[in-house]
Amino acid sequence: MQSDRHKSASPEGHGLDMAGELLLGSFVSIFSLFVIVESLRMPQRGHLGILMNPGFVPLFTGIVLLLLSMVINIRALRGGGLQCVGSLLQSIRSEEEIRRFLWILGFMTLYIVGLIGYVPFIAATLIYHALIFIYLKIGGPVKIVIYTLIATALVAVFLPRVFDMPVP
Amino acid sequence: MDWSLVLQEWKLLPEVFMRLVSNPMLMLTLALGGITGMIAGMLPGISAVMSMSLLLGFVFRVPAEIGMGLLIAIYVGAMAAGGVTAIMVNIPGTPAAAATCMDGFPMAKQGRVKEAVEASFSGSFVGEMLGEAVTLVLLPFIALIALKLGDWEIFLVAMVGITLAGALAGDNPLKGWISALIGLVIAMVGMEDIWAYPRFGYTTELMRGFNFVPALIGLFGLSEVFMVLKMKTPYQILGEGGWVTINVKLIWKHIITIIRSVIVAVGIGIVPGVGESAACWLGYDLARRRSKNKDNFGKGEVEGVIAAEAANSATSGGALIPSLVFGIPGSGPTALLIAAMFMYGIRPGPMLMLERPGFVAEIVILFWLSAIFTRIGAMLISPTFIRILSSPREILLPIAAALGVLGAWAAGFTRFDIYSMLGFGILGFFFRQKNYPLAPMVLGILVGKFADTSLRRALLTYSENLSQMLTRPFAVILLIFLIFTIISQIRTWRRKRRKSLESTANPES
Repeated sequence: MQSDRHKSASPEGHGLDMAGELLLGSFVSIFSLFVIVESLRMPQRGHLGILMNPGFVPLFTGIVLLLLSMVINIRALRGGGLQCVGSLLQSIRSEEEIRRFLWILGFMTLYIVGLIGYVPFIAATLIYHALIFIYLKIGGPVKIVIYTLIATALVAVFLPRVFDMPVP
Repeated sequence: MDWSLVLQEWKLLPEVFMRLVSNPMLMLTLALGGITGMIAGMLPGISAVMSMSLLLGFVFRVPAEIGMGLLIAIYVGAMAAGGVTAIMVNIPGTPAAAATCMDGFPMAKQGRVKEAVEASFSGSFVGEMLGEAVTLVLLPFIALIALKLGDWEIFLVAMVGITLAGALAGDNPLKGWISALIGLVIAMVGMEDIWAYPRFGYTTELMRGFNFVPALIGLFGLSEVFMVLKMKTPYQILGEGGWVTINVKLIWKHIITIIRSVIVAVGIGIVPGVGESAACWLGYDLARRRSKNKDNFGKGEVEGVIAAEAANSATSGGALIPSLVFGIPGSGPTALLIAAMFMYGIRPGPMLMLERPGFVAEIVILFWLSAIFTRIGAMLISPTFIRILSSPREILLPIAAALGVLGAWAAGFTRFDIYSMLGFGILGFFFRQKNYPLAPMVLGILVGKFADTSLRRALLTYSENLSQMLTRPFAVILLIFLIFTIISQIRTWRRKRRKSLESTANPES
């Protein structure tokens, strides 16, 4: 999934670009519908009707958001976005940049969800840095070890000491 | 409030200045505070507010001028350094530095690191000095305006800020506004201020709402990590480093832009809660509209960096006015300054200049001295920082992400904040893939709650006659500006789109 400017160069690229716009635009539309429905479910308060309700601003924001996302969706549909959704999903599966993103996201998720809170913060930070530096091939084993130790010392030892803060 | 009190502060200015500069302990404190603030501003998640609040417990053990000096120096240092990470890593160190990314980061990618950082330091230095001077001169006048600003005007300033940010931060204003509105919705999560109703409060954490710091780190920091590291060969920041000084030639060349930004920033900075974040966008927009190189804005225009940084730093002057004159904090750091003042038994408010003659002058001089010390410190540490921040992205960014985790944790010491940072990072990544700008979303999150409360309070106040609300003089000006901005941005965007379609249809022309 490359950025828009690269893709739009060819007609096929334009279609994929529009399919991406359509997917994200639809996500925003669904999100705004959720906001509207939830805002309407919020209780009535005060004597000014809807104006004073806790849901007034979210409702208004949700409606404007829905309208704006519909403009994006209509433009994407006119640009042939719907026909290219299948090709976009296929191209995502085969693209290296997406694989790399998923790996990086995986390391971050492992660090944040899987390690922090379950193993000591220093160990979690050490494992995360070692894994990500190995994956990104920043250099030979010695360089990886040195950078892992420096980064861990900075994040998990030095800064928490300086700012006198508890670590997760 | 009368002019004689301001004249009194002006008369006391030389005497207070001599007293402060002859205190070596204070000078050392300002230098250390400035460097601490700069380091805090450069580390993602370690904000000025956090550093100041951590040192708040320490300051009451030292005399008032030392304690206030330390806090002010940290504030000034963090504001100055926030622009450096915006330029070099595309992650603004402070929310107010978001507009600096617009031209600063493209300049760094073009190998113009030193020029961009120099422009940032020069713009913010002059902005700081002029901002405080304007504050001192116009204190009664601006205080009078500040008294006239009600909830309705606060709401409108917030709307102007996010409308401008939405329109300017990307190629397509629709996407910018969508981003800003999503930010507003995110800000609505949690207990609202009027009826104490927990909106979207499905869990206890959501009842509290999203903390702003993890959102900022996730949207700007983590999304940048994903965007850059997904590439097999990430970009590298090249170009000369070396000593970064205040560039007088550059300042002189863009002095009108700086003055314009300063006036806007002081004026907008007085609006509590929303002024500081909106001012940098207003300053940037004004510079773009008036510039001879307006087409180059967003692509690496030095004037854009100067305008955004001058506005960003000058807001501290504007934010000081409601803090000192009314005891209403204009921003997070000024709230901490007020807390410190109370700790020293100094009561901010209309009687401040009567009860403590020379105190306002002292605060202004502390800001000036901090600005000078910060730039000296910046000059000394800039070669090291430029070298560190120019390191290969595959080394720098994973460390920045881990620092971001620590910063998100420090925001509220809950794991929910770290999880939400990850969520915002993923959201930011997908939005950036489709060229949705993230700065408007951050601004929406920052000002959303204020805007919501202000709007509903204004509606309550004028419930008998809503036309009174709409015809308030400042509100009329703001409303006209808001409508003008929306219309002009849509027209500019449509013109640009038409041109780009024509050039695609006739590639030879």
